[in-house]
Amino acid sequence: MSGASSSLTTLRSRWPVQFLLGFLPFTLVAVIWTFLVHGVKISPVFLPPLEVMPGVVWRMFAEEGIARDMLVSIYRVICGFLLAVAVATPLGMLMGYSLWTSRLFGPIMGFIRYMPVPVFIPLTILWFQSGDKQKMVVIFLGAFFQLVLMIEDAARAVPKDYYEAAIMHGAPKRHLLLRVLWPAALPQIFDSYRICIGWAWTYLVVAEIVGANTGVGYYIIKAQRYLMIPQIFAAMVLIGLLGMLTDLLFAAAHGRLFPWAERASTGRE
Amino acid sequence: MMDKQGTHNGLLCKQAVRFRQVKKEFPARSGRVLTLSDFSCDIAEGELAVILGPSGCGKSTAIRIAAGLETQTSGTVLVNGNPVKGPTRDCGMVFQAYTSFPWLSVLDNIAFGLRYSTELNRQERKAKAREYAEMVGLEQFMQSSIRTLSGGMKQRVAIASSLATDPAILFMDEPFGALDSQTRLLMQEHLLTIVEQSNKTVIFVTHDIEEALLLGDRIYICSSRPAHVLAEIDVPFPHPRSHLTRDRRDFFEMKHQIFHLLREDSYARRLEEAYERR
Repeated sequence: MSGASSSLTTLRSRWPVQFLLGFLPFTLVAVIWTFLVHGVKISPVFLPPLEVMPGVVWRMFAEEGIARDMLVSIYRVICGFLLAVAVATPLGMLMGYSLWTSRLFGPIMGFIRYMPVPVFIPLTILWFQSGDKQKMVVIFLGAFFQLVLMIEDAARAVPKDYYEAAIMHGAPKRHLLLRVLWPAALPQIFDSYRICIGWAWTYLVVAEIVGANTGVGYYIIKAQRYLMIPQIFAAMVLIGLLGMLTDLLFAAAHGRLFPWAERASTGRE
Repeated sequence: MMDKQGTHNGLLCKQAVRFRQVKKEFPARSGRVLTLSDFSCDIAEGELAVILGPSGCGKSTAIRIAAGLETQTSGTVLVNGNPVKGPTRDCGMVFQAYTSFPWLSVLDNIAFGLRYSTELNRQERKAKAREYAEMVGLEQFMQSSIRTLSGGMKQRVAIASSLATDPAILFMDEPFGALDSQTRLLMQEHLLTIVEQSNKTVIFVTHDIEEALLLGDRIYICSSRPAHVLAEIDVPFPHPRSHLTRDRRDFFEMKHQIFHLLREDSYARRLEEAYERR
């Protein structure tokens, strides 16, 4: 108990330092950017000057309704991703638990996983028209096959000693999945959600660029058509910020939900 | 304790676990590995039997078969007179590692098996688990996370959760092997007080001669792999035992006797191997 709280305080006292350290590469990019624009005199068509960006972002929210596009995109990612999670979690756990299920589904999962998701975009438009449903299907296809294999790995990594201990405590076999495998593998399963949701964002933006009339990806392709170069960069930054926020939320939730889980990263402290 | 010894040698004594010419082979990359060969012994009800042998000799495999976690290649294993068909509620097991679930609190770990072994409701299970937590001296840590406990405390949780379901036979697979020597001695004494108060059959696997002599009513000494029983020794020290038992003169004598027995076996085995290689 004391160990956990003391490491928390050291983390807290170091927080500003950590923040500044993480901020350094951003500053470096900004400096190089400014140098290229004003020193090397690269045309603003290729690289817009940084100082115009705050005004551009303000106008995107005030006049161009980017907030609505962002909400639409977030909605699509969440729905598509939750769908993938809902199907991939039980299937991946089963595959990690029983070799038989793994041998049955493993090959086809590995096969479809390597099919490029963008190829599914025209097909899904054909099947579902280019609405929310089609975007969610693209995200589902992109996330599901990756998730299944990652969750299978997480489930397989559960030491068999836990099952034996549960069996020796009288647990019947059918209880092992929910009473041992699920709690034991959950921290790592949660980590695979965190990694996969990043990919879900990429697939969504690709799907929105190819065929959509709302969403951040649609906004980017519209900006490209009218040669609104600063807006393209600003939209990319916004997606980056959303991703970072999601990641922070997942990391914070992980610490809250699974205080007992030993994370690989703690060893580096 | 004398009458315990007495009944063991008498005719009325019941056998809790019987191994009869048990053989166990494991598939390996180069053919098969023979782990147990002609392994036979009888463990009487209510005694603390120690299976002592060198590391990796297959002694753990023997109790894993009796607990129903493995199946033998040939031979018979009887528990309470019945052939082993799989894990049963009559048997509990304390493993060397990973014995507690880190996602559950100490109390929930101890209560885990009660859901299966009893008809108690949630509150009653908690109350019973609390009793066992007190028995192993963990009343201050009932809500703690397993991760925050020391190695010795983790094993106390494992022992309490195995005892809570009240199995007639308790298997212990080198439970103190990973502990430092001071903690190990404390745990050994603790186990003695718990076992002396109960009538459980305990089958304790170890490679530590002193541990075997301190804890065991009877010691079965195993050869190196493939394991078979080299000798069976009645341990005459009276109960209650403590660390002071280790200072007895006959303790030293028996320790040396066992040590030489194991050494001769390992010499003989090495000679055999050298001969085969030629």
